[in-house]
Amino acid sequence: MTFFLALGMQAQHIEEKLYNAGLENVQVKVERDTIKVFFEHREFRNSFHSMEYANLLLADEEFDGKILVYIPLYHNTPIGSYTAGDFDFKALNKDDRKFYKAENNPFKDYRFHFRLNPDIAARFGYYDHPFETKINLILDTRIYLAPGLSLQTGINIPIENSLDNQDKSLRMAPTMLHYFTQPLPGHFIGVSAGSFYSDRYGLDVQYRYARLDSPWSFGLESGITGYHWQNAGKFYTRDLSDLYAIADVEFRLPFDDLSIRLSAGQFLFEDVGARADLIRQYGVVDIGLYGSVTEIGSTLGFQFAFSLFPGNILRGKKLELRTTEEFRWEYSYNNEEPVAKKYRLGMPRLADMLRQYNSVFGK
Amino acid sequence: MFQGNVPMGCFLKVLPLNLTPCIFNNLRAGLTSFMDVNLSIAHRPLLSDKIGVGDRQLDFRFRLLKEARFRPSVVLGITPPGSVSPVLSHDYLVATKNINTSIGTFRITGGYGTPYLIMRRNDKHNFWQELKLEEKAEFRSGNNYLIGFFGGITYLPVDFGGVMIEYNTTTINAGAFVKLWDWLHLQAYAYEGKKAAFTIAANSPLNFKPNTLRKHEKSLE
Repeated sequence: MTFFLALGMQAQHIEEKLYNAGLENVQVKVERDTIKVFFEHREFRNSFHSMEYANLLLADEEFDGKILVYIPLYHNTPIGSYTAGDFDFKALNKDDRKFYKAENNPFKDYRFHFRLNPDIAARFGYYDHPFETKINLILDTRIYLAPGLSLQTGINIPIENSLDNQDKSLRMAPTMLHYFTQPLPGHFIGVSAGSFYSDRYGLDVQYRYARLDSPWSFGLESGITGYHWQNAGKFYTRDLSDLYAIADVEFRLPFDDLSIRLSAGQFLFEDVGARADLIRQYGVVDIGLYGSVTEIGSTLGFQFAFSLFPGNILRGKKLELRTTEEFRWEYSYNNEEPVAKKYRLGMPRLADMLRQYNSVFGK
Repeated sequence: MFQGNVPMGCFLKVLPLNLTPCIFNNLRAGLTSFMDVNLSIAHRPLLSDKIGVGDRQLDFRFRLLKEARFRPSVVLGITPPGSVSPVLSHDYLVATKNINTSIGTFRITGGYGTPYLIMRRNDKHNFWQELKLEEKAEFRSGNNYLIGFFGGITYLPVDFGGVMIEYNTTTINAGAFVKLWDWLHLQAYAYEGKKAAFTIAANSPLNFKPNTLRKHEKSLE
């Protein structure tokens, strides 16, 4: 009896310790020879940095010879289990899912996040206006409504605009309902409905098969979207008629945290073609090169993504103000014709997110 | 762009001190252990109303050989073909060897830049049909920078600075540089004793950890 009481107290102690350091929805499952710690950590982009952080926070805990295992959550959904230390990956078992289902509390165990997220568009090279930019600061949040279901919304504060004729009044930031789930181990589904970045609104569905201990992954991305514009306090939308559907295969090279991704299908603006990406993951930063060939044309470009400094700004028991965990920028050599264009959702796409959980990356 | 096995990123700014300055901004990153990617933007403030922010270029450096005791390092620099206006384009092979002596290190560099480039005509719609071979010197109206053999010697009496002299196929230049910190390097150049330029370079490892994690690690020390 006292033994179980002690275990219960330790579980609660771990939950509090990690929660106070910024981790959320921390659930501790004590088994005969393992201690499994479920957590979500929205401040870091790379899940292995979060686990490294948890390792340090729990360094002086006694586990009585039990093995410590982490089960990171993304958008309120468990991804897989990783042994602390060597980050050995195992898919979730039925018992883990059942435990999480019973303990998961999407309302209570999260802070209310305010996230600062700059939205920058630029066009270079016109002789009369060489450097046209549009800079908005987005202050947004994600509220969990039910398991895996969240609402992302916020305000968009225009700062500078020499790019187009949109006025500088306060706007609604991209606002969408998002559902993320892993119905079977390795099968991930993300569905978003609402207004997105890149002036699009509509429905977006993503599926990805990614066993996180395998170098291969496959995905389908599709959406039906329309043009969406806010100006002078008014909403303006065009028909929901642009079909986007691409399939891709990705392979992780056995060195330098490099991945190669080939995508083909119908991109935004009904542009049929293919795109090849080479992506290097450094941890906080990703840098990628790409080339695409479509009906509209061909281009080369690069992209990078990184967490904005400093990360956490203010944190209380129930509130947090932080900078975005992922700022992404893509530059294409021909920056006028929309070759192999995608729209940005306002959250990383499944391929970009799951790449951060591949167990080889943590080693 | 690698220090040992640490992938590095670098921001470089070249500020010339002459009447028609061309400011070079470079962002360079070690994308793989054998390949660097470099983005440069050449900005001519006095001509900005005519040419805008200037010419942007992506180029690559491949490390073909690592330096060893009796072997120089060999690097291949390539500008991908396909620019409409490849004024900064260069393709070269360069070897570097460091020789340590009792009075400091001598770094000897020698290389060759190709006289041809592949550029793009702006009149076809298929990327591959638009490409054509062109002589660099002709396209750049007589500017022979990095066309043919070039070389230089750098002398580092201390590990935080040194002096250099180089021939870049058009001019003989001399310079001095100092590493203020590991992440900040300053350089001053004189082109044939006529023009001068300053370079400031900020270096950072790209595999850094998030701020919160670094702070926490520090608090444990």
